Amino acid sequence: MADSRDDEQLAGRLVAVAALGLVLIVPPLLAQFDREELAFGVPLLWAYLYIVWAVVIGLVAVIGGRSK
Amino acid sequence: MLQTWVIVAVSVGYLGLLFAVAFHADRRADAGRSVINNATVYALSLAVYETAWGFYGNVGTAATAGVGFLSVYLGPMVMFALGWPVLRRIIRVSRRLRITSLADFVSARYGKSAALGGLVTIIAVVGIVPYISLQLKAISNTFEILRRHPEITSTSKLGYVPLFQDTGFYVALLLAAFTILFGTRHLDTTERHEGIVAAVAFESVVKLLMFLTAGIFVTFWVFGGFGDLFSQAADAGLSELFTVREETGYGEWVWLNVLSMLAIVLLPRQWQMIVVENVDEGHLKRAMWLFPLYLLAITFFVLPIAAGGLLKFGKSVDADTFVLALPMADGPQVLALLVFIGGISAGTSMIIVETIALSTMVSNSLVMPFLLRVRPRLTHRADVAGLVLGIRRATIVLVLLLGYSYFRLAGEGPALGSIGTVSFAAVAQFAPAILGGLFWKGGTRHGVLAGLLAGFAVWAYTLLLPIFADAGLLPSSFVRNGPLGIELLRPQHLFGLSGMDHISHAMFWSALLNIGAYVGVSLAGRPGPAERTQALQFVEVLAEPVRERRRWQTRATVGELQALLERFLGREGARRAMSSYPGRKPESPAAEAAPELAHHAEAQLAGSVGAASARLAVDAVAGEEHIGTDDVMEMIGEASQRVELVRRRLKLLYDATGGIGTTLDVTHTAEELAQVAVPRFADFVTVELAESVLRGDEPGVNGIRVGSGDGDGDGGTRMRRLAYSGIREDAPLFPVGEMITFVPSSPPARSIESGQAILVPRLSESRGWQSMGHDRASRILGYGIHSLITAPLPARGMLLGVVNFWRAEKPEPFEQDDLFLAAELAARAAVSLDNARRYTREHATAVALQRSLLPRALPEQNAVEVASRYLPAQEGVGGDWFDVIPLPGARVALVMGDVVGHGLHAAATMGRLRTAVHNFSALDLPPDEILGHLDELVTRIDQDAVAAGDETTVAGVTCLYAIYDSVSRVCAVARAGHPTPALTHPDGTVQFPDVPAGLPLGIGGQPFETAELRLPEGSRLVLYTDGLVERREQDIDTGLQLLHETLARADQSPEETCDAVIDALLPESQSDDIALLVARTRVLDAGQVAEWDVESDPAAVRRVRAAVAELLSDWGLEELVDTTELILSELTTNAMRHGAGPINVRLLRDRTLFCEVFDHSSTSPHLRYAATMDEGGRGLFLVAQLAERWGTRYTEDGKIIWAEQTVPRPPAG
Repeated sequence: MADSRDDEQLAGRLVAVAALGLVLIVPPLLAQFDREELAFGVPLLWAYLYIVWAVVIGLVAVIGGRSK
Repeated sequence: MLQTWVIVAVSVGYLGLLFAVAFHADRRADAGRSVINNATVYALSLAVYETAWGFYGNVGTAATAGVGFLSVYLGPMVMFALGWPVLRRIIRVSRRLRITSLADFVSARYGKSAALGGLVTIIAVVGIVPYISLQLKAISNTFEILRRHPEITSTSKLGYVPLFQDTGFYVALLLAAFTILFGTRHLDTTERHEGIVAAVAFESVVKLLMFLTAGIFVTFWVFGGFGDLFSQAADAGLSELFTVREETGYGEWVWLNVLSMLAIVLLPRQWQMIVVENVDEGHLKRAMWLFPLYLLAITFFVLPIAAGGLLKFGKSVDADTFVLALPMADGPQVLALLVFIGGISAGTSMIIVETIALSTMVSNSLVMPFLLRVRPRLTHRADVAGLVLGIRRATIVLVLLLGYSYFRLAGEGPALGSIGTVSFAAVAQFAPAILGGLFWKGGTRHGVLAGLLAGFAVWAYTLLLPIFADAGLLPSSFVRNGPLGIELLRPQHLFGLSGMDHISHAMFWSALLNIGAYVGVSLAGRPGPAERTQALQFVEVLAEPVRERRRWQTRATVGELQALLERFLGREGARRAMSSYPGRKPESPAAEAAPELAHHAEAQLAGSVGAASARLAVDAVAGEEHIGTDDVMEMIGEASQRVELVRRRLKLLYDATGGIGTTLDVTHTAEELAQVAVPRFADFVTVELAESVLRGDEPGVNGIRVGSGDGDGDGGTRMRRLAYSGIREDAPLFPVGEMITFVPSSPPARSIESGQAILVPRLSESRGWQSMGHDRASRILGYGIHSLITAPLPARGMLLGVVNFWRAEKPEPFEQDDLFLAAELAARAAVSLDNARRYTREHATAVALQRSLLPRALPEQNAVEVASRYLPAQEGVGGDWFDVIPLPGARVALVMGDVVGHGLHAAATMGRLRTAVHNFSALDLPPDEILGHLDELVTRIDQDAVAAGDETTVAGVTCLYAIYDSVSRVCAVARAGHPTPALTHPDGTVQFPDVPAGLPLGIGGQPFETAELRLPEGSRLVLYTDGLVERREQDIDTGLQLLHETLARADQSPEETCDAVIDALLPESQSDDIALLVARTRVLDAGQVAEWDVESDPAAVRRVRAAVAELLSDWGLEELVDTTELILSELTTNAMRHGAGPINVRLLRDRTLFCEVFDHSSTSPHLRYAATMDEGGRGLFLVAQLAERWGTRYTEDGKIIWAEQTVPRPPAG
């Protein structure tokens, strides 16, 4: 049953995920991975950003999917 | 193989496919089976974000900026994570206010300002047209490159293409045709375009597949996988690509992230897809992760392709065309063709959606307000809809041609490549107005106007003009040295600000001035009343639905409004718009329109022509005056909106309290519940109750297992639909009377189990609800019913059933607040339903009791022919009773009584009295004495009741007792306060014989009197209770008069008489019960009676015996001769021995044979068992043995001893 408190909670969680995503993709955290290096054969930053991206998508899907 | 004609044929074929998809979707939409009502399609349609600029240009960007190209994709990820709190607000507001474009949104937010809408439109057009030209250029260039296959041409070497050989030109024309065909088919208040959305979603799939194919080809075919590719790149000194490291720090990266975050909403095409084409805000939930996932997939191979391209071609090929060039160089040619098709997909979908969005904005926010302001009489034109569509079509063509000419004029230089970000920056100027307006109530029209103008000016100066300069449209010194050589005004180093890239620089200044002006000017002034109303609607959209504050006066008639709607929406559209008006329907077109109706019309129009235009149009017709509005608004303040809403809810509850439970009928109460909520709260309401409740029983144990009968076993709860109410009658819901099985996951079943009201905002997404039957579910959805609240009907800890509130016409789904209202409504109704149920049960019990107390069948006797009726009162049982008791000697007693009052007590008292009358009648007493005994009995019952502390005593009992003798034709009648019987003579004259009234029983003190009436044969004696003749509203004499007339009318059998009387006298609402008894007298034939006087002489006895023997053989009763002689001689001997005076002997042959011996003594004989040696005392003993029954009755001057013998049946045949 969706009541407005559930809805607020959902919105709150999503805002938190968005904030997390934003923090991870801007400096200074970004700068830590911004090196001309390969990790496991692929560019480090490239891998890092796609992992962040996938994690955010996963979190949003899980949070959104759990609410009715 | 890749001849030009093949490329053209495939491209045209692809566009043809697109037409087919759009056409199919439109057809499906018309048939009510939307293909776009699907969260996945919605998410795919949002991928219109990925344009040809992205499809080709990403690789180009990656080839220079490395991973930096990702910035425009990570911003959308963040914004979509915020989709639920932010985007949903925008969707909700737009749905509620029927906002159909971005310009309209801004205009509506700030008091429906036409100026704002126009400004936003202009900014959007200026900002977007170059972006459109970029798409045309991409398609045109890639076509040329592909055509020159197998040579790989760099774009800069493509050279000049004549106009009529330019693919871009034909693509522009084709797309204009497509967009006009599917984008401006008709004017719709929702402004949705199913065909286009379906086509765009289809194109999203195509471009994703094509790009992935190209990426996989490059990574795994040309190179040996990611490891090989990237290590080669690192070895070749390309590891710069692996970073975003910028010379100027991360400014550009951060700004591009921010820009793309805003652009994903504020680009007109994104707005169109996210907001306008959204069918259901619930789809957003899936799009929130599916759309970023799409972007992740489509960008995944960008960096590998860029690295691969650089490794393969170095700088010899334009990096923007690597996607195409790599398959052309190394792969099967068909792959290049596929990539080209992917590029067309990306370009065309962007152009189509963008032009539609722009055309809506231009027509609704720019041209129409202007026309309406200049020529207000326009609203009186017959076909404004045609005009609006015409404007849109013209806009579409114009925008495409503008885009194309821009590409011809400026497109040859490298400048075009960065135009995408420049467009992003343009639409980002709307962010303060829109996002600020969603969360901050204080923004004013002037603030937005100032902010937008400032931001737009800075944007144009710092981003657009340098591009023009690059393209050679302006002198390059303008950028290098500043206008007129003023260094401070250098567009890319404004006020000397340096050390930043162009985008950061431009965004810094424009954001500063835009936000600064917006906030500053807003705070300096104060919002007007209209702005405050709108601000409230936007900021609090997720809270309660706030009605638009009504303006005060309208001077339009309903007909004028209707005509206005017709001009804009067409006849059918206007009819739909008017019929969706929730308030009271106006009676006639000439009636003055209520302000609410004018607002409704305005809201409907707003969906088609925008808020500002709609307001102007309605103003032009209704001539609304805003006299002193501001002052009044000030006084009332913003709180009035909420007060109004709460007032409406209270009114509904108040009406429910008064309107539900007006009767004690379960069905009627359920119907009242269904009716009170329609149409104010729901469009359809249905009520289901457990079967047991209908019978008045307790609904199951513990209130959980409310199902009835066999339904319990199979996991479903069964209930009967009892009431339905709706705005229309033909909804495909279960019909009334249907037994419905609720499967456990369905909302009603969950509601029953939890005892809580259940909200299903979108039925289309509720599996549980659909599991009740997919056919019916899809029919209900197809009918337009989209939202449901199921509320339980609880009473004293039990559940009686459920009530379902359905919404169809109102577009908003039910919300949380509605849930409480529904639960409250249901709880109130449940109490009334339970009362009705309990009343039903008690009423049934009492009626059953009373029926069991009344005679089932009247006994057989020959003295009278009787017919009777008993009609219980509607509001409870009464205490009426009647009886027919055969008495010895061919006589019959007729009884009619009435215990005053209703209810079980009256019925029970009646039962006791009736039994008592039966017993007293066995004593064969005259009527007055019987009434005397009854009087004592009632007094005793009352005393007992008082002694036992009962509050209810017998309030009074009336009774009439009559004995009719069919030999003497005498009827002895006595009454105790009962209405006089009516007597109809055989000749038809009617009289109410004069029988002393007597006091009602239980009063005591006064003896009763018997009146004797001699009745001719065939007289009808009519006994009745006061319910027949007495009414509250009429005098008893009127009733008696009516009875008199009815009886006089004809000579009828008792049955017919009963029917006639009931027909004539039955009141419409029967408040008292009615008993009626009609007896037609018979007379025992003289031949069946014989009488002898016997003198006190034993010889006389012998004589009589002889005569009796002779008579009996005459009657054919030879078998009874011996016993009769014996009985008679014993009785006469007894009379002679103990009695006095002359003795009289009588034989009656009725159904049985009566022997009666009369003497003048009143000594009572009694039966003795004589001892063996006793001489006497054997007479009565013998009589008792021989006769069926025997007895004594007393007359005024003596007594009669009688004996009854059964008459043997004559042999059959």
